[in-house]
Amino acid sequence: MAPVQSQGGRPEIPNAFNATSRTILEVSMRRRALGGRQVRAALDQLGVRLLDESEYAEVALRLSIILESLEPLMAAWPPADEFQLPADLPRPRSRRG
Amino acid sequence: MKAPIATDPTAMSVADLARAYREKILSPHDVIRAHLARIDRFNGVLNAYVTVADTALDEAKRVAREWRAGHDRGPLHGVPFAVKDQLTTQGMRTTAGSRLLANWIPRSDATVVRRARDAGAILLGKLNMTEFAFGEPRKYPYGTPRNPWDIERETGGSSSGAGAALAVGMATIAIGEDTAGSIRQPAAYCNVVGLRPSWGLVSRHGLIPGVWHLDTVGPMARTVEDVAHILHAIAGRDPADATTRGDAVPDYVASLRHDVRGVRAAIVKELLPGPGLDGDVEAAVRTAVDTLRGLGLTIDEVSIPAVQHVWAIYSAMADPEAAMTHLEHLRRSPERLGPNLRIRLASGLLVPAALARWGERVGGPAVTRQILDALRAYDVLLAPTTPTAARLIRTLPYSSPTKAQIIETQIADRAYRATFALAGVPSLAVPCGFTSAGLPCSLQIVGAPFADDVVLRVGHAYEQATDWHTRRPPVDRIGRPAPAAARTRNGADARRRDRRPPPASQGTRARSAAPGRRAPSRAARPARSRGEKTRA
Repeated sequence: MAPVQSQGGRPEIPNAFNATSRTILEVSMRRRALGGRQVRAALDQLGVRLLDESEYAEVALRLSIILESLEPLMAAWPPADEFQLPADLPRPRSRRG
Repeated sequence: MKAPIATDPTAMSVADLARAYREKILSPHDVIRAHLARIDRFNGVLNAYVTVADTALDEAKRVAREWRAGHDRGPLHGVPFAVKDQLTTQGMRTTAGSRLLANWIPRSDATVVRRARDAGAILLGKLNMTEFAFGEPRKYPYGTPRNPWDIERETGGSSSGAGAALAVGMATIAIGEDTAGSIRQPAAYCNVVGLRPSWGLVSRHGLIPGVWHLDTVGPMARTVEDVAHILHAIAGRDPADATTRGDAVPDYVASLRHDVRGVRAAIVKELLPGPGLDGDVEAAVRTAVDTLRGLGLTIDEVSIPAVQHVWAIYSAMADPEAAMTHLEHLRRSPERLGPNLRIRLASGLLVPAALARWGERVGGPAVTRQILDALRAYDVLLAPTTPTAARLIRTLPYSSPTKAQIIETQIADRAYRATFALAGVPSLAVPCGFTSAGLPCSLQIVGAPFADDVVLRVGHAYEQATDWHTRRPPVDRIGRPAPAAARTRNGADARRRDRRPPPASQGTRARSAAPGRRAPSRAARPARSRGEKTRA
């Protein structure tokens, strides 16, 4: 197999896989219900297979820890000032409101 | 009066070797022979080398002729060096620690390898590493490196072989790679010095990549001065790597002589004490800080609150990049990757894009901003390099760790080094004492971007005031001598059944490292199935 060689530019961020699967995965992560089954379904769509169920479960565990750690930060640390929606931008109204 | 030269060539510094050559006390041939004997004696147990160069003695003869002819190429002329197997070497296999590349023989040297050779250094071979610099710390495809201070313990990774090789005199200097701590951890665990240089100071051309925005090539040695010698030889703009800076390279060795009095230093409050910090390591680092105070540095304390979030931010940023880099390996040959690597790459594929982008745009820059703010107020930051001394290999989690194990072994440990990697700032690991069990501890000195000279100067001053860096492992306890290395062509394993000759264009030979007393790894067999071929 050809080794991956140094690249001249920044690699693409992945996750360009099926949007539905990603949504299911993200929803599962947010509900703290992410398990090996969802991971397997998502990886299948990317053409990736792991060797046994425990590995899918470990991926789920790792992803859960990442999300648990980052979700509060994403809310607390907004993007840099130069790239935020203007503070006076009209906010979308709730339909019920 | 000149200081006496060490009598053992495998214990000599770069300056000692240059003087011994100049005064005709030793020849490069003697020095290389002594190192090869050392490798034959210890590598079977320590697994520091994946491939030992058969060309070293011939190169030594050529260098000896140059010395006799009065041709002095500088301080590295005739110095034995070894490189992490992540850097390509012309005519010598480069595995990146993966069984997928067991027989890949690159056509060209990585820029840093070429620069070291141009400076007259003699390549001894390729050093063991975790698989693609991301893999399993417990089971390595080419044999698990063992720590010479206690062979039941890890060397640290991913520049794993470099720590062990330098500690026992199997090389004078080494070149490693640090994505989030891979030079500094093995330096710390093996009582040697390692520098992660400023990102962009040293070329990465010819490095088998992992994470584009973090991978950093850097020097390792037994002293700060030797690290400065290597850095001086390999740093600077490389047209083949657009990320390198074009500024003139300072004389890092000369700058070591500058005074450190008045240098403003600050302890990183969140790391001393930090998560999982061992009491002995903390005591050693605090004593080192006192020593620096005695040398005239002003010592303060600074807060970098983002430290506690580094593992998650790093994982969200780095794992997707690494997954992309190795996607085809993961798709085509998952069974030939170690479980740890498979799992990390698969996780990286599934990190939601929003998280990865947030890490890049907000999380990583927030960590960087806090560090750079601190480095506007202080010249250097101080912290332990690792929270503990080297861990027992058998206690490292192997496959299916629990959440508690992930938190204990990865999240806490990562905070000490990945924090500074995310900011791209120079970070130096220097020996600073021993635990009550006789294991090395290490002080980390961090500087502003491209202030590598300041970091080295402080490290050198500390070294001159202490003798921790002069202590070597009890080699008589390392184990029975390993059998002599079996010679093969191109570094392919002696046990291989398929003895295909190298392509005609490659005249360089190499020998595989001695397999030692452990069961041979399947990894070193040639890749023959699933359409994999030896590449020229």
